[in-house]
Amino acid sequence: MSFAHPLALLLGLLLIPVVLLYGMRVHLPTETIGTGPFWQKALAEEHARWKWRPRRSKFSLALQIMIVVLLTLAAMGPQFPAPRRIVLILDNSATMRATDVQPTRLDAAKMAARLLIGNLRSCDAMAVVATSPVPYDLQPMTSNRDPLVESVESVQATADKVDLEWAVKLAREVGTPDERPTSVMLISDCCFKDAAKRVQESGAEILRVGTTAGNVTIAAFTARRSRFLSSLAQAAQGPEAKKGAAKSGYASTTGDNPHHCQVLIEVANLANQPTEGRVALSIDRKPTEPVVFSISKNGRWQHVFDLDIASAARLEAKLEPVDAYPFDNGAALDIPAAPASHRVRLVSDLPSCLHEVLAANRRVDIVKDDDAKTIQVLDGHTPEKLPDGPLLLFTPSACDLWQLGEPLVDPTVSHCDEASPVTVGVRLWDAYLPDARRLKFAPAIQDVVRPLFYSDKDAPLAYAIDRPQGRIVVVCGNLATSNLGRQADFAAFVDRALDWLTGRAVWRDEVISSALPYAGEGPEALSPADADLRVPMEIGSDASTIVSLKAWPPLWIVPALLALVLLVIEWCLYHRRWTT
Amino acid sequence: MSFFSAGLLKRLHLHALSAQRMGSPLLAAVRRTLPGGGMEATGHREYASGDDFHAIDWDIYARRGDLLVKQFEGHADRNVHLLLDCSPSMGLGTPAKFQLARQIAAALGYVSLTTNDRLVVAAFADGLKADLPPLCHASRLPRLLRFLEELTPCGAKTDLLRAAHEFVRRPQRNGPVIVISDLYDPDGFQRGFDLLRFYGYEPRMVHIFDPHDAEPTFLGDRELVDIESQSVLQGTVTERTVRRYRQLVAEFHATVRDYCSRQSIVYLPIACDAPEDEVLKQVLGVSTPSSAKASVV
Repeated sequence: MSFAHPLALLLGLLLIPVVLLYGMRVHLPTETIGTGPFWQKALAEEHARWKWRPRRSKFSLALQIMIVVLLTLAAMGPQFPAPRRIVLILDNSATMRATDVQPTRLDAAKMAARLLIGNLRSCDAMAVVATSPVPYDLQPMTSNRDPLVESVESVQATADKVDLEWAVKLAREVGTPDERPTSVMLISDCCFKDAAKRVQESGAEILRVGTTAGNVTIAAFTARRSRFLSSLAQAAQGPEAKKGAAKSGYASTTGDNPHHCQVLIEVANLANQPTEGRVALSIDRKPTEPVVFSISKNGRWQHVFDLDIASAARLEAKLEPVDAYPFDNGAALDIPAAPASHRVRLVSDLPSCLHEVLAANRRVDIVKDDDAKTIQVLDGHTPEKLPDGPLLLFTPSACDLWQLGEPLVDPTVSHCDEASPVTVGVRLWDAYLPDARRLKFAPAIQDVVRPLFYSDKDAPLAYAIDRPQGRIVVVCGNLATSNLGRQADFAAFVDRALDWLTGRAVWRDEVISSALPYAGEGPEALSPADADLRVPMEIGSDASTIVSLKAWPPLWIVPALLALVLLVIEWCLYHRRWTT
Repeated sequence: MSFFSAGLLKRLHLHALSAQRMGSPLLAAVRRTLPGGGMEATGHREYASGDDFHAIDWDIYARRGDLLVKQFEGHADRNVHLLLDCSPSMGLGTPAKFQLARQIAAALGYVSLTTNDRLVVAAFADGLKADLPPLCHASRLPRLLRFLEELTPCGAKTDLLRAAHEFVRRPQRNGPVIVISDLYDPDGFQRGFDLLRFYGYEPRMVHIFDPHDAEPTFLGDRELVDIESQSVLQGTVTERTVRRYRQLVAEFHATVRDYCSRQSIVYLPIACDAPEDEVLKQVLGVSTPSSAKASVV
């Protein structure tokens, strides 16, 4: 117990005049009587009836002392329990927009906060901290309820997550200056990762809002416009490639349509009961046929749409029906138009995998004529003087830019130059290039030569030459006897080489994913990792329980009332002057 | 004589004349008719204290040495005794009971002296405190009044028995004894009256009381000082205490009435706040209001 006004203890000095007055009161008012025997008899009967009468005057003194003590106690303003200093952290993260409690979890949290503020006593103090987008203090420590309520009302939900540790640290800093014990109270739905552990480590008192109602969310929304004709590419890449494609969900069902686009949507049911619904997909706001889904509890559902999209388009997906958190029931992605094709002139003696790879690439047009923009792909036909323009050379021989050097030992590709746009993301491990020889470049181009592949002994197996007359990519070794063509990424290597030779940026938009959380409906979306809205009921206590809490009345009323009662008793026993 | 003003004496004279004609219950026995009458001597008797010296037969005393008093026809040969309570409790009341008691004594004495009765006046408290030699002529009225005027409440608590003892032992003749008192005797007034009756006196009672004694106006913690015994009572006067006190006072008055009724004693209760003239009329039998009518049983 503490006291609001300790100086009021000085009122206890009133005991001194009380005792003095009591001493004076011992000299009772005197009445002269002539009927003494009658009075003696009447008073004797009264005394006999009240055994405690001899101690009556002392009882009066005790009553008066108790009255003074109680009044002093009331004036000191007893405070029990001790004054509280609370830093209230209000979770305004994205999950607080869930409507499983009406109207929203954030509104329920605000209501709980208002009740807490309403229960504050005049000696209590509270500060308010919001969690998102970054923890910040809304209201410094104060005992005034009005600014506290206003600060709580001003809190708006955001699309961000809760940084609990930061918020608790800020709360403790807000409550620190007074160096009195401060408790941190968090009103939240606790829908964040490792909630139980983090809450326990934070030491904050938790008031839960929300229910265990689940959430159905779009976990993935991606599209792919393949740069290869699938059947030919898979034929070139072998059965492993086919198997991998099927496994990834991108198995083609539409043949070799050059405008073919596959769209994958994945829906997660983050709930404790099965759910059913449908996915409505629209292309540039033109709806397609909805697809019905049924997902078991905590399950996922995937579906691939095969679409014919020639140019750039905007895909939008929506889940129906709307659940407790409608903001993650939609997703969108923008599919870019397919890049322009390369004009390629293939010079090769024998049919090889090189022809199949080029033919399977949608972005390659194999032409017969030769002009300045045509990329010449030469396999074993290295001219003595290399022509101007872009060149892709396999099985090179001596020319004006280089001479053949010593044969390379163990010409197997072991690593690539990851910084080169030609080989970035390309995996050509164990590609064997027989008859590969070191190239000795002319001094004029030595500065623009950049190795691409290396053998185990760091011997270059391929080069990129950025000459002013046209870029050149040359791969050592005999392509006809090499297994390079059977490498899964050989087509990708060729594709990137063609892009580099023509000066284009490497096309990386083969797979387009929606940037989840989807911001198309507003800033309230949730990332799939944070979309589980089930409130962990084992954490903290339900915020609705504080509705039953009643504000403590001022404690000084109790001693004041007791003093009043004792005063009435004392007055009736000793000072009453009228008769009935 | 400031206490007995001229107006009071005039009223006393008028009331005494009426009393002689109508007869006071308190003095009724004194006014009986004796054989003979007139001024002719019918015999002698021994001198007794209080006898008028003029009635002594000096011739017989000269011849034989016997102190004899001549008896005349019509002479009331009886003493009228007035016992006036002068205890401290008589000093209380508004007006003081003692003041009224002295006026009553003066009135009765006036009537007695004017009717040739031998008047004996004594004041008592816890015994006889003052004594006036017997008076037997109206000419002695000033002495009576002076005696009464000089009386003040004195002594300790009322002890009527002791006073009666001292009174009856005196060499005096029997006769009516008019006791003027508030009767607040802690040991009871009855034994004193019984003693008077035992010795052949005819006691009559003038009970002077203060109506405020039965209606205390204070409550709470009080220190009650008994004016007679000077004993101090400390206590809390509550409504219950007051009710009990009233009951005791009422019982006391009833006891007095019952006693007088049983013993055929003339009883005249007088409230001290009653009008003075009315009191004199009641005492002398000129007017007998029902509320204060002397009871003769």
